[in-house]
Amino acid sequence: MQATAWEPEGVEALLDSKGALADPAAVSGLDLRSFYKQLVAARILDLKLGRLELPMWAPAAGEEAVSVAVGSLVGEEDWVFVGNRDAAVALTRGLPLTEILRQLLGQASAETRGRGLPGSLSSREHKLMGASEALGMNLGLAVGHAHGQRLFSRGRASVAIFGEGLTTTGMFHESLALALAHTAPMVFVCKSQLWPEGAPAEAGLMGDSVAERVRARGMWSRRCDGADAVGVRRAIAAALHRAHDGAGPGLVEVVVTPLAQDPPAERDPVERVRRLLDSRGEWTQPFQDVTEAEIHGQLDKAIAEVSQ
Amino acid sequence: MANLQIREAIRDAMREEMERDERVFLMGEEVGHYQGAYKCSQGLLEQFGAKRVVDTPITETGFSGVGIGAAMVGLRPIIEFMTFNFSAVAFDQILNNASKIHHMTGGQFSVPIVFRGPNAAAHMLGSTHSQAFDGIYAHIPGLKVVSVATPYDAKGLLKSAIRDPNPVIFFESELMYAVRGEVPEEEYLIPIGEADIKRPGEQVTLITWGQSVPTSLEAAKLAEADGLDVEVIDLRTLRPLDEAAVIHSVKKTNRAVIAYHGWPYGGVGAELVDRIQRMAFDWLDAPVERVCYDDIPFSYAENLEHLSIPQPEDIYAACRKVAYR
Repeated sequence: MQATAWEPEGVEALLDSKGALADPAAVSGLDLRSFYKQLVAARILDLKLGRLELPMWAPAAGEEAVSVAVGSLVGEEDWVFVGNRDAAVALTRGLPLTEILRQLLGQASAETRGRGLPGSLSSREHKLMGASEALGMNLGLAVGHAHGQRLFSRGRASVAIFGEGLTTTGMFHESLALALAHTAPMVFVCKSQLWPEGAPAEAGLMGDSVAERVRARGMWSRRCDGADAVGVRRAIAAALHRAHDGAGPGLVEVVVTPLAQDPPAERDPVERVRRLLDSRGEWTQPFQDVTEAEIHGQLDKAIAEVSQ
Repeated sequence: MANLQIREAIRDAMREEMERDERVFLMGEEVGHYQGAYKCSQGLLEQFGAKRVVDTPITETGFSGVGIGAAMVGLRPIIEFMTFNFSAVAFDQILNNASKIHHMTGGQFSVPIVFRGPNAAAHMLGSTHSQAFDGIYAHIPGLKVVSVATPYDAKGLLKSAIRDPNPVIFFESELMYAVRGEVPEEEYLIPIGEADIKRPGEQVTLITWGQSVPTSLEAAKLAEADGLDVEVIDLRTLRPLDEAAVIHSVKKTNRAVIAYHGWPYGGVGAELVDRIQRMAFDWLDAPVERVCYDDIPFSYAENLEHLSIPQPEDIYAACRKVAYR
């Protein structure tokens, strides 16, 4: 049942709006405080990057669960084909902040040498491929990459992150068909907005579930709630595990709520994990302050360094 | 006379044609509720309703095809691309359906459709969002290609494009939607295929279109200060080319410079050079010069991008060169 217009239907919830865990075993082995710190870092990165006023910049606040899950769960040999709101994937994957900034600012010393678009980041060393911005066109590359990985050896996967808007394109459907045909070790991560900006419902998904559509064509899929960072992490881990294991492609649909839309506080994935920590006695205001100060300090230092 | 922005002139052209002919409708991404990515369709959804101002999913191949199909049964679709860069996805529909159906069916069907939207560089949009499609679409027999640089031309030519029985590619510019100019209150049409002399001159013919029109006019001012009298011809239509206007001017000045947004290899600039050397060879006092993009994909970095875009000083330098100054 949909509680409010903000709640997605048909999702497996692990962490509810009050920060209570449906299955405590789901976080065994997960350092929740480190996990929370990564989410906070992703949030602050987005806020600070937003202030650079880059052309065609889109804020990612509210989507941290996806970035942190992908960035921290992928194996060393896995590749990530990022979209335009995935700077935090690069951060979590270890791309230095100075390099992130240099690419976004189009500086000559960046790996992309001032040529790439500001939205997405590319780094061969960190196995990150930026989006071409021709919507959906990078999905074919990701599938091809996954196919190549499979020919080399089992145990490597490719991940592509994108928004629900491009699931209407031909390239999306062709990429799914090819991934299935080749049993490609491929994880599609679709960030769906229930209320996308600038378009009426009939031009978008009309409440339709991408995960269900994909399942109808024979692909493994899961739908989860972007406000539930623990649930998102579990679903993406499962898809990666299948891909690594040779079971073929899968798609994880994450229903994200952009904070720019001013949703209720429980739709904020960072706040929800904070509530979980709080309920376990693991959250204090000083811990919060130190966590924030740390990433603020690192970012300010990096901004100063690249501005020289 | 009203003083309008180019975006308002485009909107007025669509509105007048939709009022005049109920077969005309607009379709594309964000054209309705959002009123157009660049506000070219402001107020149209309210006035004409969702049947004639159609918001689409992200499906360029699809809605281009739907538009062509609708045109075949007698409707007059206007298809808006948020930018012509996105028309790459729809290229197959334009190349193999829009431009060929009239020919392949022996004239049983025609495709009276307009594909319109911004083209070429804007500001720091990188390689994939800064491309000029002039040469690509003008290459294709069966299409007409228009490129506008003033509100007056935008309105008069868009109205003609909508009434044309053939598919028309209609180029606008992201950076020029706010450019203002005088537009008559009464109805007028500008025929497709007619160039316009934006500045008369005697010593150098400067042929240009689109975003390079204002830059060329600035270059002509620089030349004027230097005692060099440049005639600026705005092609306005890239296919069919107004060959007569170009050759007439070159025979008068004996020198030609071509300035445009687009890559140098092939394309409309090269086509002009070919026609000038064939039709006015004995009148030329200097080789024809071209000022256009560098032969590389665009960069995102502002300084690199600036180097790739023809500036007034570059065009002025080319004018001096053909005048041996």
